[in-house]
Amino acid sequence: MKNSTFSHILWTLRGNPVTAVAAVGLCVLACLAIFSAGIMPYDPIVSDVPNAMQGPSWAHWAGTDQLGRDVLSRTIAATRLDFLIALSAVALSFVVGAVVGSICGFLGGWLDRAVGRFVDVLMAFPLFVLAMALVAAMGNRLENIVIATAFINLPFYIRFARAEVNVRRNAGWVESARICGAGTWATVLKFLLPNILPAMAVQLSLNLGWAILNAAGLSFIGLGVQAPTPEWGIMVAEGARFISNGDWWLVVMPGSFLVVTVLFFNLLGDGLRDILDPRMRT
Amino acid sequence: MTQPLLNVENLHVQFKTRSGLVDAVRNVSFSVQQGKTLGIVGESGSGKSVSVYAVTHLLEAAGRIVGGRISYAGQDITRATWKTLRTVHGAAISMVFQNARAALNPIRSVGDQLCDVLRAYDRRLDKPTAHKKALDLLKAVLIREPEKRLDAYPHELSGGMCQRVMMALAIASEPALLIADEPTTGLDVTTQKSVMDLLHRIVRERGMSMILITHDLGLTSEYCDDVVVMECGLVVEKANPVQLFTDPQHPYTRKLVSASPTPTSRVQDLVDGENLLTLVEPRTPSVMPAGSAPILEVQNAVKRFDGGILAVRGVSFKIGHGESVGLVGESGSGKSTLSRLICRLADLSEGEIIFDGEGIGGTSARDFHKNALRRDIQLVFQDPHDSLNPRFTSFDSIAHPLRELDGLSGTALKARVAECAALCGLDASLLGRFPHQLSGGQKARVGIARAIACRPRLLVLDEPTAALDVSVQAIVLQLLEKLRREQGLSFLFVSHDLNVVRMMCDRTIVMRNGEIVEMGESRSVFSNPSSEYTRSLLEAILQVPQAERASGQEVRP
Repeated sequence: MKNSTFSHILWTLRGNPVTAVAAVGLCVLACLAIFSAGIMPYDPIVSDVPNAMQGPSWAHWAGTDQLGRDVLSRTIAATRLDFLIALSAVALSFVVGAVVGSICGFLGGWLDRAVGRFVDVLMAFPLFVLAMALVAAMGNRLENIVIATAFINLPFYIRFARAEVNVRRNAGWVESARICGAGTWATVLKFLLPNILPAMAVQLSLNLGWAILNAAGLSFIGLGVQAPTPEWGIMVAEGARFISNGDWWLVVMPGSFLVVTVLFFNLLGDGLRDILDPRMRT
Repeated sequence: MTQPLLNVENLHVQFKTRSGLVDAVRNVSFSVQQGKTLGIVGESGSGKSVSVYAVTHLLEAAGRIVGGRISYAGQDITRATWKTLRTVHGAAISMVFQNARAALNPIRSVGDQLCDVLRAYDRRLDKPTAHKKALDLLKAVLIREPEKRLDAYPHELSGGMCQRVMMALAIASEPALLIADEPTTGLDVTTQKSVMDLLHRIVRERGMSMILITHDLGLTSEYCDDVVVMECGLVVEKANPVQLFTDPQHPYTRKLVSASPTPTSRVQDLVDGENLLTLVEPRTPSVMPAGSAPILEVQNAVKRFDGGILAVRGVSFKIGHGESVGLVGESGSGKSTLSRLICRLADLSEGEIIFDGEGIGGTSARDFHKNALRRDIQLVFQDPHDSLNPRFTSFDSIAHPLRELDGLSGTALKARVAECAALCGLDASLLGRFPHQLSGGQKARVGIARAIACRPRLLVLDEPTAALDVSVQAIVLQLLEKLRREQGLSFLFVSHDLNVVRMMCDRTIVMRNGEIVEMGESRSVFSNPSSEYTRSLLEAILQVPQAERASGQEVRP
């Protein structure tokens, strides 16, 4: 079984070279995040003022910033933080959204209507402004950024899970679950959730990219992660001040990491669905 | 012999799939004579549809004609372009599809769709004339109140009516050849009969030829002049229907003929050769002895849906221990709703259901999974594919009720699953497979194994073989009968196939519009029905030529 799963993944990737590129790229980024301590050529925090504002050179591939810190090292160090925020925020909204949405879709009735209206209200807000307000209200801490990012993603998951469950709730295998003695919770968790997972995986992947952008955006406007912690959003924000002087290298490295990461997550989505759907296996 | 209208020689079609090229159809030859009807019979996967779709160039992108020759009225159309085909299509060949409702455009009215077709073949046709012609077509297919139906949308029509509209569309261009792909599958027996009679009449009256693709041998015997039997992409036998039934030559045809239930067939005769039932004691007549307590008693059951529609109107009956009761009726008769009420998937509006002396109608369907009697009433679903969780392996599906209701785990669970699989003739190697990796018959076996896993006392069978091929149906019916004899189960057998019910059930209940119209021992209900409705159902059963009446040469004059 293990072997066939692996060969199935390989088969899917061969059919979707774009997904394969995205998967490899994300693996590299994940390695950078995990082993950043060993990979970084310099300490990302300690300043080295005599060497400030140097352009790219052999010693500093991506140049140094206004305090003489190595831009490449800071960008690599930021990978871990940005991935961490995005993954935990998306995981949080996925778990809450999928369960709430599935229950609403399965049971219907007043609960469904109440949650539905709440989601409508939530979606009527400009979501980034809502995230700003949440972080501002709850305090400028890492976990609050995660919660705010998760919260603004929640409506999409609830709606998506609800719709996916709704089309399946009258399927024979859901009724058979009842006949076999499964209660509402068992039916939703063991039967419906695994079946909507392939469709949700696409959403999940797209949202990871979006969550990274959101976290970077929050710190760009000064909410969220604070300097001197290396984070792509802050680095772009700080670098932007010097760009008019022609010191372009400060923003290029974190900016391109951000773009490439978001792009990879978006490209991964379609392939993920093919991998997770058991019907694609033969 | 004159030149045939359509001639297919040595047709070879390949499909490109993940595991390489697959031959869907090999060396298939058949021809249709002017004014005659050809039946193509076969089970799913036999290539019967593919060979005809190749003629109309309707193969999906993965399919390709790699050999053979198709000629229409002497003209080679094997590799004809769409442009040449367009003149052939419709004007000469048109099709009636299986699921008429799905084949009709849901957002255009029937009249508009008819006018579209009419004007596609005759550009000069103005609107009022097209409208008048559309009306004539609806009259030709015997739709009641045709003026009103012109403005109706497909969802407002019944299944039989949709099929009539489909036929009107197909004959709109006055084709010479009509291809009907399972035109009555999914329709009730009485509707099937009227639709097929009409199709037959139209084809005769207009001097058209027809190809009837079907899995139902009975249909070909009544409506075809010649029959081609296909198996695994090959033509195994060509004959006229009488000969086919009375003297089948090929072993596969023999298997099909014996597997098709007739008014006189018995469960043990359905499968040639191996017979599951020989090992089991023939059952003693299990009609309920007077005075003994029934296992199930339904008292005045009423089901009212939102909006006040009454699906079941005060139904009462009993099922004895070890008894097999058939529940017969057309779609909309309330038989499915009644079986859902008994399985506690839906709540009663009024009345009571008593199982083995205990009232279970009061417990809501949502809470019934906690009831101790849940394990005693199990259900075998209509569609074996739809009733299996796509993400569960066969093992998980069979193990699910054992985990939930019996709390089994570990080796005990494995042992019981293996035991149930063996009882249902399911190979142990299939236990690790997902539903989409199983054939229809294998999925049916998984569904039955799951239903008997917790040793229920009453098994409700909701059209358990409706989605299966006849040869698979034969095996599944034998399996069910064997299990019933071995395990002492009681059956409530819901079906629209009267021959199957006659074979499987001691008593039969006939329902219509949510009410019981007739109830009694199967033998007397079928031989001497007391209600007009039962009689009309019985008349709609297709008559299959039997060995003794082989003399009739002309089929349905």
